[in-house]
Amino acid sequence: MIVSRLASGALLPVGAFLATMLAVPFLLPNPYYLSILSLACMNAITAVGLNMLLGFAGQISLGHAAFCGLAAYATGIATATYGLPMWGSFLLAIGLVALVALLVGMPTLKLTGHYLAMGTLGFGIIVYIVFNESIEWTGGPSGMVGIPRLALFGHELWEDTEYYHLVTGVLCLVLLLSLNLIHSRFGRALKAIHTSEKAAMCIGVDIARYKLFVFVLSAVYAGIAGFLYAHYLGFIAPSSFGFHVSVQLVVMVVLGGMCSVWGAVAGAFFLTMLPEFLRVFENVETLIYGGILVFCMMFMPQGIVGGIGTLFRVLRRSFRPEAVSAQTGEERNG
Amino acid sequence: MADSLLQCREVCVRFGGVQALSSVSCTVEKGTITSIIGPNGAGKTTLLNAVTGTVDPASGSILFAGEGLTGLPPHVRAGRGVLRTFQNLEIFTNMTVLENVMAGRHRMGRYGVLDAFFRTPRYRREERATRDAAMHALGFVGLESMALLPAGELAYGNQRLLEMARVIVAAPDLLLLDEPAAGLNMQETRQLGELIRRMRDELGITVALVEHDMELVMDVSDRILVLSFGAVLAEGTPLEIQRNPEVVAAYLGTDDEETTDGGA
Repeated sequence: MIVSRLASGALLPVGAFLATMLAVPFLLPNPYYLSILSLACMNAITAVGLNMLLGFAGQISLGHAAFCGLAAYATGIATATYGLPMWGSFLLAIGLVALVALLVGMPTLKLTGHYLAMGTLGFGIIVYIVFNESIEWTGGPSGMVGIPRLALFGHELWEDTEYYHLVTGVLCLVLLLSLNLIHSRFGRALKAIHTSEKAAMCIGVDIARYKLFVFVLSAVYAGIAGFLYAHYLGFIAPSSFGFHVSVQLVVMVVLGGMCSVWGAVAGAFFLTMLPEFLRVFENVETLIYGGILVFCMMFMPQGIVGGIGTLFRVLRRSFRPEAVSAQTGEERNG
Repeated sequence: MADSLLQCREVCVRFGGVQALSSVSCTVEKGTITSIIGPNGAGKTTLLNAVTGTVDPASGSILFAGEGLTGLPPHVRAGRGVLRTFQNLEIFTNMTVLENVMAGRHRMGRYGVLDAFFRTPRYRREERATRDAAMHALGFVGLESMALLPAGELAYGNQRLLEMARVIVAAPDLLLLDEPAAGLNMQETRQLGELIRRMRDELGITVALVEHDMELVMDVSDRILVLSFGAVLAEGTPLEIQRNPEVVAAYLGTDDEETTDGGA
């Protein structure tokens, strides 16, 4: 029943995406790539949430890796140190992230622009320091080992393929829910806040509440990704949740394209896989990595998804010049 | 006086040392069009802001349908049916025309986040109703053929109309228009006047507008409130205002001929 309701609108593209993702492992030469894809899915879960905050509501966060880290450490400590069952640990980790996001969001979301960036940046750094310094809980800079592999209904997902299926499924669920939310009065309110807070207020949108809502929601997405990450690798260290990771998450959203939910997915996959493809260049790897980013932002300021959309429009225009002007509206409606 | 929809009682607004409004009292009757006019800096927009809640009065009270509005945040006032448009268009350029208008219906939204996440029947029913109401509002202002265009691509005059549709769809009890004719040519201004009258007659919306275009003001208004230096200078029907020597001297210029051709 619920499945049929989730169905309309978003299910077709998300279903196609899921089918593609499930087909990909058969084409991979080497199981190592499967783990890269799994990590890309986890990054995509965080990026989709961050895109709701940044791309739709127009509020920046430079501390989202901290939410991943909080959930990862919470579940690590709960399962490895205290032997909590998996579901209990999940609720604990996500509950903690939501609570922290609520407490952090209430004061910081009063800030705007650069000041909000600084505020969330500060939060990220504080959490990073806590991970490093509370050695008896987290193991400090050398990390935390022995986190059990994720188990569903008593079945441990030891196979990489199984885990890949799980994270793909979670990503698709997150995508479906996010697309549904965007196409509702809540999505419209978030977009309204992005363009004009004044006008949003005057059509009855409680701005502070909506900002807080989307901040907590995006933090929960990050928490889900962090939870999956900890139980996938079985080892976590503070450096996986530091400042540069937060920045990378923002780059994923911007590079992928802030105009659509799919942009965040494209950005996350692109940035997670790019270093793997560049490994052959050895010494100049970082140089080329940076070059590609600059190139993308120069020629696709709308991001990868926006860039592809523009490309389609240009191609269509060159084939059917007259029909285009009437159709541009529908194309952008997606 | 029983039908006063909006009552401002001795409203004072201060910006630092500047007294923007000093003890302004006025009423807007239900089902009328009331214009607020006055020279630049007279406090017209400030009065409007005080009613919608973006500015806090230092003293005085504002009653809407008999209940106090003072101290309530803008979104709560919008929820009670006090809506407004802006002098500098505040169109949501990241949405289509239709989405803009659907967003305008936010205050009537009832379904919750979970309804949206799982597309429950409640969500579907309300979204369908919202879409119908939005198309109806677009039809009312004559923009239904542009529903699927990105809002930013509309011509200026049409963006003004879109902003009107966005408030019409919310079925306001009191609608405040901040210089709705700014930037419109003569023909567009005449159409706007017609639209404002239709909003009163066909939709039963009470309108208060701040406007510089005297021709429009004299044409549509049932009542006119004249502000000067943050105080009420005069109040009455268009005819009374045109004949009021104080208004003519302070606002329309000392030359009597200017009152009819509307140079402001």
